[in-house]
Amino acid sequence: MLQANTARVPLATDDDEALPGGGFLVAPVPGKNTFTRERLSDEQRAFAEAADRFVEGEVWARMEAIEHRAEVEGPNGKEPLVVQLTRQAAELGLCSIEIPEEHGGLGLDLTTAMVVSEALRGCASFATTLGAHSGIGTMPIIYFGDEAQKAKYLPKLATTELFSCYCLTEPGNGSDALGGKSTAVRSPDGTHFVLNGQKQFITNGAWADMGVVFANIDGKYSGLIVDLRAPGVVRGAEEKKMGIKGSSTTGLVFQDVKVPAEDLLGKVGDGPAIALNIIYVGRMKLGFSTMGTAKHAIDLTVKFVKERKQFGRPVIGFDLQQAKLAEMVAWTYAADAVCYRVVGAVDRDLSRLPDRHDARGQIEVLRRYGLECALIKVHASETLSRVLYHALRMHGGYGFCEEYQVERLARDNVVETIYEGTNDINRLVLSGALAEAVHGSSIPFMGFVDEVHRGLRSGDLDPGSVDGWLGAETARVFGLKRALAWAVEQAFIGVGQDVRVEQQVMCGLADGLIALAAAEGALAKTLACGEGDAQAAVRADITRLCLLEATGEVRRKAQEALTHALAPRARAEKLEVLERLLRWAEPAAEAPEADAVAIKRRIAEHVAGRGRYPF
Amino acid sequence: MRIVVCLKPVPDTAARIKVHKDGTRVDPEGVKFVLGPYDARTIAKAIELRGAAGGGNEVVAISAGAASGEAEAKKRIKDALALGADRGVFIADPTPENRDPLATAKALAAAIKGLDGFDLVFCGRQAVDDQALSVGPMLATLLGVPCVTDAVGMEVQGSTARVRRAAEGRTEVVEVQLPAVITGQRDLADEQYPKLKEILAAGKKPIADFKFDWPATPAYHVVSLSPPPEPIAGKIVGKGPEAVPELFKLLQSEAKVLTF
Ligand SMILES: Cc1cc2nc3c(=O)[nH]c(=O)nc-3n(C[C@H](O)[C@H](O)[C@H](O)COP(=O)(O)OP(=O)(O)OC[C@H]3O[C@@H](n4cnc5c(N)ncnc54)[C@H](O)[C@@H]3O)c2cc1C
Repeated sequence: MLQANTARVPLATDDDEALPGGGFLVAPVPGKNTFTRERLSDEQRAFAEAADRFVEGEVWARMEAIEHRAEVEGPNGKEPLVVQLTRQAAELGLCSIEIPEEHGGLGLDLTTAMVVSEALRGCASFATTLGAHSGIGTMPIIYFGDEAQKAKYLPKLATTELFSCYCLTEPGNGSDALGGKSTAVRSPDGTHFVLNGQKQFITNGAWADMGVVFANIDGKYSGLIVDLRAPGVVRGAEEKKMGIKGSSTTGLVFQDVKVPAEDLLGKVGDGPAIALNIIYVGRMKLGFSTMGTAKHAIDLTVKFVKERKQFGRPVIGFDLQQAKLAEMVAWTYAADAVCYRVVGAVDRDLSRLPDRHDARGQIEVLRRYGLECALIKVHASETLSRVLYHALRMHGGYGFCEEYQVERLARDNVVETIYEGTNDINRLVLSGALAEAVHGSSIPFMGFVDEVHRGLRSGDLDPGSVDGWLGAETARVFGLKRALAWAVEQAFIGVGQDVRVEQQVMCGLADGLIALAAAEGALAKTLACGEGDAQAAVRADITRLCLLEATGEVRRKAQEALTHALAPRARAEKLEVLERLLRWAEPAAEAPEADAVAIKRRIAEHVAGRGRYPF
Repeated sequence: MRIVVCLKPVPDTAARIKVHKDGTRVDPEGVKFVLGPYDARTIAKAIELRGAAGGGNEVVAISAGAASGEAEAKKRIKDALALGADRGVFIADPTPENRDPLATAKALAAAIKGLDGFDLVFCGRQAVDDQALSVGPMLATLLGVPCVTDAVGMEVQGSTARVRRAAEGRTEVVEVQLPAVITGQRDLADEQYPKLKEILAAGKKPIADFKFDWPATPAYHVVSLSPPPEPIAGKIVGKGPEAVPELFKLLQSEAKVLTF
């Protein structure tokens, strides 16, 4: 079926062959065997539905009370509603997905954890509370705890008998997270540490029983499990926040707090390893939950614009609103595709480990996907921002009022671009990882770009063709890869040793890579879903829209980056090369797939008919 | 004690329902099927009664071929298993589109008779899709046992059940000799959510296939189905007690539902 014109990198393959760490930039376009949401097992689907129903029935139904920090009477006495709901969720198993079975958990795969994160949508106060407890507050013990620590803590974390939090950020150290000033001094008899310091912005700070706290031991950053009910722990005042108002965010001060020696997590000096490795899964989860929230925002908006009438007809009848709806759906579709593609690849690699449950092995696999985790986080959280930008405005004045959910979603979304590493930091992580992959040859970048150069010299840039459904689009995605890979090479040559200084250039490349991932993800998902069902034509339209947008984005970002990175004399010629390469990513002007306006109308008509995000 | 729960996958009420192009039924394309809200409560009640009755009891979830197709129906049986039912029975139906309540009741009765005895049969008071409200009473007739409809609460004492039924503004408490068929209202039990562990366990519980000879022609059939009229947009006149006078005025003058 595939007819690449020589024995180079094939243009496309059925399987997803991208190597971790940015390999997708130079890998064949993946096809029908790519992992997508549609390939979830019945069990994973049932987990998602269970979490969906819980969120709809218990969390959404009480959103206003959650946001006002209502307290309710429960088995543990009077407690904030959001805490009670987390306990209820724990009863269902939502806090023990990743905890190994021998320690009272379910020991399920990463995909399951992500499906559940996606279900925790539209309720960021609750999702943040639960995530700080069962994600960043628990995972360090799963990954780095010794057997005694796991046995002592994990069963109680699974049930929320112990409520946890994660204490990394300090007043003077946010993005520069590993430079914290807190100290832990070993007692002369070696039985305990004495912890001093201050932490900032700690989710669950008001009610957590324990926390994973980072502090310097003999000048080496280390992780400690700290009992927050111990003498010397002072909880700060609640931050008055713009969003996630139902969650608790406080400072924590440690004054001569005694921490038993056996509560040191890992070894002295493991702090950076713990912090960096925990964040991969955290970023991925945030990606999934923001992507889920984008779907929810679409559902709310479709309902509104179908009911709201102006000038005698429903607002969805207006072309401009149709365009916005189509964009929201296409962006979200791409975010969904990228999220599932990545988690599918990670779970595939995890399943190949000799011991699936070996924590070190898991960490090593996740570390290799650090670029993709950062990419998902930035892409999905900002996709949600853009979706909400439209959603809010499509609600007119009502979008500005608390009574309509989108107002809260938009406020909540802001912090999603700040925590788990600001999106700036994540872009730098992403582009830094790309530079490393290129220079360290962990992905076959050089061979791929050499091929592009050969084509440029010979004048034969035709990458070959792909038969069958969406063959032209597949070839265009390949064309986009060539253009971006070439631009990355040129930019790297241009900035030379200044990779760390040239943040604008690097982040421009990161944006290009995100755009490519979105278009390729959308295409792969569409191919994987096949042309058989009633929605295939709409998926194809969405794919085409994503590809048009990605090509525009890569052009803008690459032009800007190269204009700066290249010597002024070389600019004209190189920008002309960029154009030559980008032409292969574009549809023929006379082709129907060049008409984004018509494409958007068709997408919107379908989605309005379905009355919700339809995939 | 053996408790049977009859259940039916129904379209998610949040979904947009379209009439099939044959004009007589809901178009299943693009519709999400879920466990009916009444069925979800009868399952919860059945599990509760099984627990109260001590060991050696079982809850059997039965579904007879549905418009959603076999795979969906079996998933909904799995939902019941994840909520605690012990096993499932599925009655395949090659032509679900020409089914009527009597045929469904006959199929269920046949499967239940094949069970080696039963004490209680639960049905939801109605399925939220066709709203026929008839399978429960028909099933009771076919099984030759009494039927109590619209239950909002019940306890079992030995071989009698004391059932509270909601009847037009009053509550009636009735006692019925088991075995019996009970149709449940929403208030019969609190909504339960499946535990992830139970979902895993449900995968290992058996679902038996029961073969039934469906009648070739339905006892009655739908001639046409038309969607409800477009809803009239609601109006929010204010909040709290201050809004009452305005609301009152509009109910009189605009909606014309108050005539004094
Ligand atoms: C509601 C909420 C909950 C939180 N929960 C937790 C928690 O549970 N546990 C925890 O440990 N932390 C938590 N955080 C902290 C969060 O992770 C930090 O706020 C975040 O990492 C940013 O740090 P900062 O606030 O100090 O900002 P800064 O690091 O001071 O950043 C300020 C600006 O400078 C930019 N910047 C920083 N460094 C660079 C650089 N090298 N290059 C370019 N630009 C740069 C940033 O992108 C940002 O725009 C939470 C924060 C909030 C708001």
